[in-house]
Amino acid sequence: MIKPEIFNNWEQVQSWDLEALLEKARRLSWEIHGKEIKCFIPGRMFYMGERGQYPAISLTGNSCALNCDHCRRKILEGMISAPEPHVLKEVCQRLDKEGSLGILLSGGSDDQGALPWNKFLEAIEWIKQHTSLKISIHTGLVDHETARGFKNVGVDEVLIDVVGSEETMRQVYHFPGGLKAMVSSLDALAATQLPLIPHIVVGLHYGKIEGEMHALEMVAKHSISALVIVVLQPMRQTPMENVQPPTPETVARFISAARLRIPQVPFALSCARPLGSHRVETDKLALEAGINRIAMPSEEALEKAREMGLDIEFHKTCCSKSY
Amino acid sequence: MRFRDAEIPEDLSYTKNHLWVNMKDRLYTLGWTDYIQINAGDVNHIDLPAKGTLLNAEEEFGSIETSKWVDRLYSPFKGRVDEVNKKVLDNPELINNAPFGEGWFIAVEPSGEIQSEGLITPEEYYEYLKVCEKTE
Repeated sequence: MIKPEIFNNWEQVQSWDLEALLEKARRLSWEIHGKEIKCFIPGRMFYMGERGQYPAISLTGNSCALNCDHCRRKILEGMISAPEPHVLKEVCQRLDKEGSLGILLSGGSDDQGALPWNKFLEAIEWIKQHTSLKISIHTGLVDHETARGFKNVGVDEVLIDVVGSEETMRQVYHFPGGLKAMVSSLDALAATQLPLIPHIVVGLHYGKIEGEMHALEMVAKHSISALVIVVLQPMRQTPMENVQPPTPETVARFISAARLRIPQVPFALSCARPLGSHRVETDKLALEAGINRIAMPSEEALEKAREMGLDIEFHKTCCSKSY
Repeated sequence: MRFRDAEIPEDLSYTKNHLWVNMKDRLYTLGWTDYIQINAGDVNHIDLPAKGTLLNAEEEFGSIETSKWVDRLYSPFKGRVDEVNKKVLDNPELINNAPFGEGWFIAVEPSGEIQSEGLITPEEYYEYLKVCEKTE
């Protein structure tokens, strides 16, 4: 068995020879998870003629009080709007009839990073009873009572973006003091024993590595079902529009460090990542780091996966899939 | 003509891969329709062929990526690429901002007989979008 490794800080990760780091992470990943790559077409995304069957639904329409610098509500624009429980039920009934496999419930948040879950718990329970949809929820910040509510109404899995820097919470999320709430939310979600799939956004702090290693430590304390690696994708008409995203090498180093810290869970490279040549390079390096799942993989990555002798399978769901 | 928020200019031809084709001049110009750019979101990347490339009907000539759409582009007819819009390679947002204007992809000199089944009229494209919406 390859010995895992704990990096205390990002400088240590950077000091490693890239090839050696990737190889160690890859060998450990293959030893535990096998030589396979699962590919995902999430949401209703369109990939080479195929369409995802796992739509994202916003419970707040296009509104969000945090209005974070990396998003400015742009992500909400691509979701189905269901700001009232009866609308959510109607939408889900229709999606179920049309053959969707599940839904991702998400939305904007209030100024404390919370979504209006209490308003929707009864509707979620109804959907679980009246449809065959799987329900993944992007929780935002939650307290213990709300987290228990997820369990009680039959949510299938809980997803949360984990930020490890107070400064990032303040500057990017406009939520000073938010780190404490982040830690408490993770504790609350873990206590439910629902499949927990944290997401870490590499480069969230205006393209720089800031709290990612701390986020990794926050996540490593809990029993998680998968870890999703998101890469900052500077979006138009946001304050980060002209920010340089982290390089593919930086992303691959982070994946490797995470693998060596948390060997037992599958890692997914999220659909949210820079496109074009960045995507091609990131995907290939992620494979070298032994990534287990990729959403919307580049064709070059699929070719490399075949060359590496990996078994490839596709799913039309979120890459967080834990069931 | 409009389909919901999407404009469908009546002087263009269309394909079921959501390309518009302007066949008014010697060179046929191609681009992405308003409907597809609205639904696919911000275009972040596009690959187009070099000038002089020979295209065959229904063969791939490039690829396009948005945050929720990754696909190849297929030529509806045979021909030679006469002009490539280099502006969209550097500024793919033009495809969203002006799909029928500055966001065009390539101009092709067609060769041989154009197979009519690959191209549809604005009215047929409108009807096709209704089918697309139903199956989604």
